[in-house]
Amino acid sequence: MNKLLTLFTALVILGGLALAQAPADTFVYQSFSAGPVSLDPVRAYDSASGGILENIYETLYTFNDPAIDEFVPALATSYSVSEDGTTWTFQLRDGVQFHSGNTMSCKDVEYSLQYGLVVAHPEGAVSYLMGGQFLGTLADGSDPEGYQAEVSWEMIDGAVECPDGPDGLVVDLNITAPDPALLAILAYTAFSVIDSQFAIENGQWDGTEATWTDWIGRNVTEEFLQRNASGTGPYQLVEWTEEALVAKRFDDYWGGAAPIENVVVQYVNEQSTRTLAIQQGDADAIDVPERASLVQLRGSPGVVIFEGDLPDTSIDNVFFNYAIDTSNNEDVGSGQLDGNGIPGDFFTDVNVRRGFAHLFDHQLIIDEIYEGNGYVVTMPMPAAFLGYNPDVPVRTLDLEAAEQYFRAAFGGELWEKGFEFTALHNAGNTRRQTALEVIKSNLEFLNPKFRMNVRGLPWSDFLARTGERKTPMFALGWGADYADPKNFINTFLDNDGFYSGRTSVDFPEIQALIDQADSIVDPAERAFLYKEIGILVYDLVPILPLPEQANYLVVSDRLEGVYYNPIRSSDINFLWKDISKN
Amino acid sequence: MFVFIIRRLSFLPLVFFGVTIFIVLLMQVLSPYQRAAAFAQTEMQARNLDAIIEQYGLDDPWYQQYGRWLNQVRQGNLGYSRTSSEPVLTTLRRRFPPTLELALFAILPVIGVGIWLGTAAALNRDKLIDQFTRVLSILGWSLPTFVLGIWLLVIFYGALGWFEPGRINAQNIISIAGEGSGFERYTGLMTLDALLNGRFDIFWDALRHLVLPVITLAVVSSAQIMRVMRSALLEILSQDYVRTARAKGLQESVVNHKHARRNALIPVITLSGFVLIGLVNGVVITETIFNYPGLGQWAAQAAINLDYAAILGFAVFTAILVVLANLLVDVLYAVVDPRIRYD
Repeated sequence: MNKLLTLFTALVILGGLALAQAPADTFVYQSFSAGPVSLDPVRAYDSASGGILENIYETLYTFNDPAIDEFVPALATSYSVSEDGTTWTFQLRDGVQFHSGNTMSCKDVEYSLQYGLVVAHPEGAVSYLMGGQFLGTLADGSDPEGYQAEVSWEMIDGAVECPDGPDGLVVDLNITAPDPALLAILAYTAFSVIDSQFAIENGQWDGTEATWTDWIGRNVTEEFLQRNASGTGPYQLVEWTEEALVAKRFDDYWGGAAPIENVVVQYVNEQSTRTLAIQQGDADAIDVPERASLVQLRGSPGVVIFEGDLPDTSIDNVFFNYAIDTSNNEDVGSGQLDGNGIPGDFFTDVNVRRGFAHLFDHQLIIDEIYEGNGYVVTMPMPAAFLGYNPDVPVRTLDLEAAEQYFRAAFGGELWEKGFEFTALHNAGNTRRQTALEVIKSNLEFLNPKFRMNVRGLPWSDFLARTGERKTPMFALGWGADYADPKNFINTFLDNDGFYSGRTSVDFPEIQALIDQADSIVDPAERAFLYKEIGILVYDLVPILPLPEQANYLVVSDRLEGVYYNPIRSSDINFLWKDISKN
Repeated sequence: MFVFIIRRLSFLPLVFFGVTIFIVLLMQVLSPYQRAAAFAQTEMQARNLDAIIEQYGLDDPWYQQYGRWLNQVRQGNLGYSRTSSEPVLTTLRRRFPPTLELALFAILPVIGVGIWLGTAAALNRDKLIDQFTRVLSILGWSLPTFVLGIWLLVIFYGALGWFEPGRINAQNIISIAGEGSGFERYTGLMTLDALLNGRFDIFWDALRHLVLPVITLAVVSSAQIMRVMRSALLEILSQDYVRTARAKGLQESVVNHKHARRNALIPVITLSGFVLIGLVNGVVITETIFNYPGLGQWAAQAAINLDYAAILGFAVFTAILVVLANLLVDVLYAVVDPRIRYD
């Protein structure tokens, strides 16, 4: 008994000397991620990395927070575009210092953009987002020889120029064709301005033609900028260890020193641990990936949940595969329209797609999965984006209409013979699973000869399976890289877009509008074209957009200045410099 | 003894090749696409899986992939862990000390409590203390670690605010961050480094952060030792030489503790070796719940990510550790039991 008493006393002494809450000069954010993939802007392409980079580095222009489609000067003070739209001239801000003490000038912008084009990292965003504009190719560095065959040093060198010399404050960006989304794309962290002197002195690419081929496709995660940074941002990196990432205020920041001195980003995998931390005041903001976990936080003293009208910038759809690989494919049954399977071109019949669209109950998903905090998506892009039109009609649950379309499909043969196939979702994603289950339920009710199986696969298996074009129907989505409709419309519907590799999507009417919208810069004209695309999506149902949930933020009530900008890379959606703490 | 140790150490290369080839072959069950896709957390990152496969040679024959890895190892490089975003060796070097620190703090209560209660139970067979330890060991065995861990967190952190998870608090993380802080990480063991730096505030804080994970491990792991100690001691107590010792008129405490318990320790030493290996390899759930940045947390994440280099590196590390720990246990046998000789 005495030993137990001694033990308890020791615990009380140890515990009783616990320190108070996180101090007022420190912002502690607990993320659910395992940590950044990279602090090198040309490699980073994940929210954990982006959430750090957007506070340490800066781009030429940035978002006018919390607006996602308004841009304000950052490292540039103004810009002009040549008459043909292919040369963008930026006037750089004078007297901007890097964390190292070096002064920013054109040579840093030139180095940063050229470094991205030289490395062309297949897992980074530079080639994907800007390769086409700067070099006329989406090729990347995964095949260095192939890249060299398409891209020359002259092309890279000519893409970014310093007309007033390397130490001047004017930079020209030369693109191959006018791009209405250029400013939005350049606001992405992949186009952060790196301290060229700091990078070169520490063994990164030396910025010359002599060595550029050595850096094509280089695994830059093993290089200096992976874990070291000298940007111009309001915070500078202090340390990144297995415990946390620590940053401190950059007092010489051109925009004035930020209110909070220290930032600690901790990577906490367990939700209950994060929940307790914010309840105890040890964290000022936490990630809560699952809405269901908010229950434990509601009513907690000191915890504020921002929710309501916080639109997300990701979109989920049900995708149809127009050229299913039916060989050795259990998901298509017999592979024939014989009642026991589906043929490879099953979804090319518009009546089939329209029929499926009328089996989906949008409101059910909003009520059951989003607890009422969601909205019907009229077009396959975030509602806050240019061109989104809430007046575009939506096909809703209507069994009579569905029957009518299915009866018309395949010349009436489909209704008589029936069919069976399997739709996939990534296991653990409740909304995607429920969306498919709702369709299945209504489909099988409509005609007992119609059978649809729903299967969840681990993420890697799911991606592999859909990538092999073996999946007839699947639920998947996209999160915004930049705030422009082409980031979604082209991704989902362009016959050369990301999803074309999984669905073989090819609608000439839609493609013509996409190409037209890509070639003009006038926002009003583009908005009109995207609305037209929205109407065609309603009519032809190339994909089936799912309702989106309204987002939420969980922060401490000691924070002031919190806002929600869904286009920000970080999962907390605001910049550290804009908040203060009492 | 020396020859014995050399002979046992000579098994190391065999273990190295056996374990690594096994893992490489096991990974081949998954398609290159699956292995590449494991790293793509979002659709955006899944954009270029073919390029990733090509860049990392994931579709090369297994022996080529293994050969590349061996070549790296020959140059003192265990590869790059995409899970920790740094070289595997660096991760092992950074994450082993926290795990070792936790293991060292945990092993004493684990073994101490196990032996103490196991002995008490055996000497008081079917009495209250025996029933109590039985219930305790059943609880320890059957209570899932994550349940116990979360309970402890909810009570001692959520309700009382005493012991927060992690390794040190945010304020101290800042105070020792970066070269400018002047805090030297001599050993990577936070408590020891804090003392060596003369930072008693950090020492105290690190100690506080160890309390809950150590209690969790002690409850779970000492249950096994408790039961083994009890049954071993009961068996020894019925041996002739124990009866002889009593007949000679030796005090009961001398018979029990000097003659009987010492021999009963042999199976406990074996078990303790394995418990220690388990602790030093990283205790996944405990480290995850208490956000303790050790090897277990990393290895579990690496396995989920199919992080080839990390899995191989961790396996090599574990294999070496197991061989060395077994060797240590064998040597300890000889120390505890003079009858055992390895000549």
